[in-house]
Amino acid sequence: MSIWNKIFSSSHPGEVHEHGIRYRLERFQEIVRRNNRVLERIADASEKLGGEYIFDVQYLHDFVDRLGDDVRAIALALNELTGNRYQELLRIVSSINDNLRAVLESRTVAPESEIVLRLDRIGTEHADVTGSKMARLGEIQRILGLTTMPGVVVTASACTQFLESAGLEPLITAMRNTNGEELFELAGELRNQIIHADVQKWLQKKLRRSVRAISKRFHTQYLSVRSSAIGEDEDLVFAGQYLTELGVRPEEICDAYRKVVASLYDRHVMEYRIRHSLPPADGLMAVGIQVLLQPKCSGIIYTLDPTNPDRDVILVSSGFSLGASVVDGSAPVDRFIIDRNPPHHILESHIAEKTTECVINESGGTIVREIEPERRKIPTLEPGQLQNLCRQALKIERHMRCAQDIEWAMDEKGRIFILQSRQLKVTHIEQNNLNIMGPISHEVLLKDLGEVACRGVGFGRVWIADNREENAEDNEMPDHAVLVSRTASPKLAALLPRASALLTDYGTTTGHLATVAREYRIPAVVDTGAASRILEDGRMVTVDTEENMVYSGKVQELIKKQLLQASSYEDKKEFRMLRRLLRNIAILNLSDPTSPDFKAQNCRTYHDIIRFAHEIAVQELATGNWLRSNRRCNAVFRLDIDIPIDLVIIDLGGGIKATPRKTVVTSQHILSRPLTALLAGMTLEGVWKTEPADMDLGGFMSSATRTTALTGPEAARPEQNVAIVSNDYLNMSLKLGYHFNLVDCLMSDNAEDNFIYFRFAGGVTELLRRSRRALLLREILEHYDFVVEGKGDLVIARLKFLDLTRMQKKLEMIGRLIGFTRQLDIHLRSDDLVRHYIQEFLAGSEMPSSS
Amino acid sequence: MSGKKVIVLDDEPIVGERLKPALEKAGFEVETYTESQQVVDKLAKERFDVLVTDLKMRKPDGLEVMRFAKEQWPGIKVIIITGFATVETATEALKEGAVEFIAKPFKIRDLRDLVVRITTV
Repeated sequence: MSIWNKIFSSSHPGEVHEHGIRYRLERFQEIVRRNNRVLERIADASEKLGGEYIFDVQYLHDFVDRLGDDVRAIALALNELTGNRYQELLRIVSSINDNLRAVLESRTVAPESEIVLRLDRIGTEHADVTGSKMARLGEIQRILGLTTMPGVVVTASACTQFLESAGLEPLITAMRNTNGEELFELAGELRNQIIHADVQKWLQKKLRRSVRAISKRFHTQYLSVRSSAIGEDEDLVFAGQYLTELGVRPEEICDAYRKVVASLYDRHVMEYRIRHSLPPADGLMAVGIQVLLQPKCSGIIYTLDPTNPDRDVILVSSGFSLGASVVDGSAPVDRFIIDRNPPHHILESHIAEKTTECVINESGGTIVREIEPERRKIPTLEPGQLQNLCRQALKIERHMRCAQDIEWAMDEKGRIFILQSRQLKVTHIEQNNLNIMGPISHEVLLKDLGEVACRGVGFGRVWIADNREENAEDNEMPDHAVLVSRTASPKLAALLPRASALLTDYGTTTGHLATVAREYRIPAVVDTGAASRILEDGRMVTVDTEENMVYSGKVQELIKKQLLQASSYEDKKEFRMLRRLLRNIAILNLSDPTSPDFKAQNCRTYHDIIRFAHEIAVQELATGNWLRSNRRCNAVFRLDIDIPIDLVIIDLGGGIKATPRKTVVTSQHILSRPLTALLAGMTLEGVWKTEPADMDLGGFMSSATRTTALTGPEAARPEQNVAIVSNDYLNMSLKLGYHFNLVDCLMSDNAEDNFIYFRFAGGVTELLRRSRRALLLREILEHYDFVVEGKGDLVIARLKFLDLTRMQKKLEMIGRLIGFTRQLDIHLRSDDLVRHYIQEFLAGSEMPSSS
Repeated sequence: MSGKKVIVLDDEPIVGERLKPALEKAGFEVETYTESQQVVDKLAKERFDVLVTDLKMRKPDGLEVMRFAKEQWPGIKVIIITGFATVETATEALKEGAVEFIAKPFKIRDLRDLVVRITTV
C-alpha cells in the first residue's frame, strides 16, 4: 500500500467524511507532493550543468518525461480542486512540453517573449529569443560596460508570428518532408515568398516605432540590420553565413527585415545545416537593428593566433571606414601583432597600401570607393588605440572564458565600438598536448576541498566578501577577482558576473549561488570548509576546478589551456540541450503572489506553473469561505491554544477526536501524532514568550523592496495558518510574522515510511540577516541529523526512516525551532550572534531576548 | 604515468569524448568507441587493462562484449555503465565478473578514481 493510501485509510472505523472534501484534500496532497518532487528534479538537473557529470540524451529524455508527468498532474489536480478554473494551465503545460520536445529533437522553437527587446537589457540568458550573437553583444554592453552600437532585437517570437501570419507554415512543413534538389527548390520558393510577404501591420508598427526611437535618440539616418539566428549556437557554426544589411534607411526597415529572415533559407546555409546534422528546414531568425555610424576605421581582432596558439599574441586587422573588406578579405588591410601581456607592446606592424574603402551610400546601402593616394599608406590605428582595443578584447575574452574573434569599429574621436564577438576557431590544437601537461610548479593553496559546482579555470586576486560585510557595495569588488566567502549567501550572486572564480566555505552545489555561477560559467567550488581562512585577501591565485585545486599566482599554462578549450564540455550537444531545456523549465517569472501579473496565463515555465498551482491550492484550502461552509462536516476545526498561531485544522481522518458539530478543538482533541509532537515543542515554556522585536528602518525597507530569487521561497504563503492532518500525517503551513514554515511529515508505526520535510523561507530583514538565519537553521538542523539544502534564504531539511520515538523527538525540536526563529533574523546583526543563538538553542535555553 | 590501457564503449559519443581526456590526465592510454563490433574487433587483437562499457546497445550488447573480452583476456577488468532502466542487467554483469557498475549520470571523477583503484590493486 502506498504511503498516501495509508494516510487516507487511517481514519477510524465508523467515521465517514464527505467525499467532496476528501477528494479535494487528496488533490491538494497531490500538488504538494509533486511540487516538492519537481523542485528536486530541477535542482538535480541544474547541477549537471556544472560539468562534473557525464550524462546523455537519454537522461534528458527521462528528465523531460518525468518532469512533464509531474507538472501535468499538478495542473490537473489544481483544476480538480478548483472546479476547472485554471484550464489554460493545461494548454500552457502542453505548449512548454512541445518546446521541450523541440529542443530534444534539435528543432528550433522560440519561447514566447516580447516582440522587441532593447540591446542594453539582454544577456546570454536571452539567447533563445534574441539569438546568441545579439545576446552576447547585449552582455558585453550590460555587464562589461563596453560600447556597442545602440539598438534593439526583433525576437524569434516575432519571426514565428511573421512566418505564421504570412501563411508560410505549409511550405516549411513540406520542406521538412523533402530532401535533395527538391528541398533546395522549395527553399528558393520560400525565400521568394518571405521577401514578398506582407509584414503584418502590428509588426510594421513595432519595427517603425523602434527605428524612429533609435534614429531620434542617436541622430542617425542609417542603420545596420543584422541576423542573429536561434538555435544550437548557430553563429558559431554559421559564422558569416547569414545576411547583414548595412546603410538601411528607416523607411526601408521592413524590406531589410524580410531579407534577413529570408537568409535562413539560403542554399549555402541549408547545405551547411545538412552537413552539421541539423534539420535543414528548421530555423528561426532574430534580427538586430542598430545605429550605423561611418567609422574612421574598423576590423577584426583575434585574442590568440588561431594557427599558433602557443604564441602569446593578439592579431588585429584594420581598414579604413566600414569593415566589409576586412571581413571578406577582398582588399589589402593593415595587420598588427601585439603582445598579449600588458602593456601590449606592438611586435609587428604591416601597414598596407589601402586602395579602397567601403562607405555608407547617401541614398542607402554601401559603396566601395577609391582612397585618395595621400591617405593610402597612413596606418589606420595609432599605438595607443591598438592597446586600448587589446584591453577591451581581453576583457571580453576573460568574460566569455575562451579566445575571441571580435569585429570592431572606431570613430573619429577614437571611441571603440564592439560589433560582434564570438569564440575563435583555433585550427591546430593537439588535444593530447592539452591534456597531458607537465607538473605545475606553483604552490598549492587548496586541494580537493569541497564540491565543484562549475568546472573551469579562473585567476585573479582573492577578494573575501566577509571582510566587507558592513556597507558592502557591488562595485567594491574589483573586476575579475576570485570571490571568496564563508557562506554561499545569495547576496553575492550580483557580484558573480564580474568574478573570475568563486570559493565558499559552506553551501551546496544545488544552492542558489552555485546555480548562478553555472549560469555565468564561473568556475566554482562550494563547501570547502576553509577557503576564507586559508586564502589571504588580495593574493593572486589560479583556481582550477577541473582538478579542484587552487594555486598561488597566475598559472599561465592552465589559463592558456582554458582559452583554447573553455567550451570543451559546454559546447557538447547534451549541455546545450540541457541549458535550453532549463530555460523553459527553471526560470521563475511569477515570484510575487500579490502582483497583478500573478495569473495562470502568465506562466511561461514549469517553475511558474508549480509555483502558481501551489499558491492557488493553498489559498483554495485556506480561504475562510470554504472552511466556514465546511465547518460542520466534522473535518474542519479551529484550534484553541495559548500561543498566537490561529490554526485551522483540516482532518483527513483520524486526526481529531471531535464530537459532532463541534468546530473548535483544543490540544486534548488532537489524535494526530505528528501534530501533537510539533505542538508539544512549540508550546514548551519560554519558546513563545517574546513580543515581535523592534526593527531598524533599513531592515524593513530592504524587505519591502526585495525581489524573490530564482530559487526563492516557493513555500505556500497562506494568510490563514492551516494544518492538514490524519492520525499519522501532518502538512502544516504557518505564516508567523514575516516568514513561512512548511512541515510535511508522516509518523506511522513503520519507520521505513516515515519522513519529515521542513521548509523555512522569507523574513523581513535584508538578505544578509536572513542568510545568517538560514545558516543558523542549517547548523541546528544538521546537528539533529537532518539533510539540509540551502537556496537563498530558503532552507529545506529532510529526514527519513525514523521510528516513533525518534520522530516524536525530532518533531518536538522542529516545533521549538519554529518558535525560536520566529523573529530571529532581526536579532542577527553579526555573525558572532549566529554562533551565540545556535549554542543557546542547542542548550535548550530560552528564546533570544530583544536586546 | 601508469601507461595502462583503457577501452571505452558507449553508443552516446559524449561518454567517450568526456572520459578520454579525464582518463588521459590520470596517465592512461585511452581508446573510445561508439560501435560495439569495433570493440570486439579491437579486443580480438589487442590487450587492454580495463574495459568500460555501456550495456544497452545494438548487438553485440555490452554484456556480450564483456563476455568476449573476458574470454580473450581473462585479466581484463570490466566496468559497466548503465542507465536507470538496466540495473538488473548490471547486477547480472557483476555476477559474470564485472568489477563494478556505475549509473548514468555519473561524476567523471568517480569513474576515473574507480579505474585508478582497480588498476592499482
